[in-house]
Amino acid sequence: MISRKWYETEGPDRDVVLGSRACLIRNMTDLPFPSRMSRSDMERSRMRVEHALCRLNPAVKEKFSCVDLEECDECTAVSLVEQQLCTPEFIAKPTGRSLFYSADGGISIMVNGADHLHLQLVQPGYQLDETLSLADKLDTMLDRCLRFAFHNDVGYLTQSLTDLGTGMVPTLQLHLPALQQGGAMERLSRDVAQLGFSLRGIFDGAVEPAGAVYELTNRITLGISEKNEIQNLKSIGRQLIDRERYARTDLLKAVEVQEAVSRSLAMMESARMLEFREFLKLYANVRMGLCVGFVKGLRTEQLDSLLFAVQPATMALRSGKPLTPQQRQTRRAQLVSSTLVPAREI
Amino acid sequence: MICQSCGEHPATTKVKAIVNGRLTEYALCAACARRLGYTTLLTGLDRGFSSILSDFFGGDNAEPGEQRCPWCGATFEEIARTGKVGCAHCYEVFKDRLLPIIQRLYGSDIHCGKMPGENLPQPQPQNQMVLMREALHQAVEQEKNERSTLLLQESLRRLGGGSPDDQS
Repeated sequence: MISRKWYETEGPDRDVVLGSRACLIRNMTDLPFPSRMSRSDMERSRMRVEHALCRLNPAVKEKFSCVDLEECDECTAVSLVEQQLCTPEFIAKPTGRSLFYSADGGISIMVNGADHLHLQLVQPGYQLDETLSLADKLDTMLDRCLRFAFHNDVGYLTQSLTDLGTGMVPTLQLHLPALQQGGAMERLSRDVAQLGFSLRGIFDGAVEPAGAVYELTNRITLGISEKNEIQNLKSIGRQLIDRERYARTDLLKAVEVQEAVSRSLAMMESARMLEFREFLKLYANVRMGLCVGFVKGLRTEQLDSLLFAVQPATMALRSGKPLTPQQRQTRRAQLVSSTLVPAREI
Repeated sequence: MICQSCGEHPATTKVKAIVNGRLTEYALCAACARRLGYTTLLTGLDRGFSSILSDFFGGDNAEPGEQRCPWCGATFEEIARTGKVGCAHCYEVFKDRLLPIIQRLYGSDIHCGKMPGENLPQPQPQNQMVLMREALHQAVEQEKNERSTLLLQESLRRLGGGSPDDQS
């Protein structure tokens, strides 16, 4: 049975919030932290995590796949990042690193990265409380086997001092095309940084964020409870959601913007070749139009599924062979139009 | 190296990203890192806090024959230079030197979140103290009542009276 991915399912406030994520950073007491681990330490760490996952109830155990990064080619490793199962930093140094992940992509565990375990749980839409609850239960179950390093004063012990305390980093993944078009993002990024948050684009974020998909993350982990971390993130996140909705309604009153959305939809339906960066631009316009009712006959989950399916490494991996840029663009255009046209005929 | 985003200022931060199916590293200047959301209150502290240590110890953070963590062999100087703690035991071995830095980073060194063992929500230590005080108060009150009852029963017995239960 093929499991539906987390981003293919509905969730609250899905018009703005793609997903809610909680990352837990954990280490074991009797092994050095990863930067000082020997080869055998790394193997021991990986075996223990595998054993701990096997001891979870059988239903949970069956859901996990394991990838040894040292045995991965670059395309497979990059695709894991594109599917948001791990971070770019995690695949940068593959030695001794493994990734465990569930079939729906909602749970992943990076082993021997910056810390022994980096647990990541994702739920569709605005579900921070539910995500924290799931992360908490998995943490408690794993702790019974792995005995996570903990200090009464400074909390869960981590390789970097900046993750101490709860070791929990919650994130909202937001689609903010109207705020981006209004030129608000840079100021918002600077403002939230003063409060201990980060707000950054996830696609080409280091040069010019494309697709208007951003991650809002609470980076403060010590001197605050998990619940308050979530509460603070909700408070900032809710303001961004409301401002984005207001800006969308306002923006789509302009004929030029309506025209841009219509053209983007037509391009997606009929293009013969599509670069990924161009797809991101069209995706942002069409998703915004869809969420304010200007575009009909589509669901946000369909567009978001395309966002994950048409990324370069993932496309090459699914085709089972290396693709030239032209082949990739042609396949992308086919995949996009074949998804959109039947959906709009309903 | 010049910032790869603005192309003007010297780069101070390196970030990794996936671009067009390849793992790519960008060098950014401080202003672009801030503009693009790569800086927070704690930025840079995970890549070495030796400059903070210099502020603390007047730049003299290298000691001859420096103490090593008996578990992982890390010295405090190595931890400060790399920003990476060697193992869980380092936190105890170098507690006197790490805790002031943690205090300075966060403005607090007291963990307020989950303790290992049980799922959330867990009673917080402060809440536990309130509960214990309440329990103590109730126990004292109960003991007072019991002593009062005993004294009353004793008085009644001396007077030749008492409750029907005591007459057996």
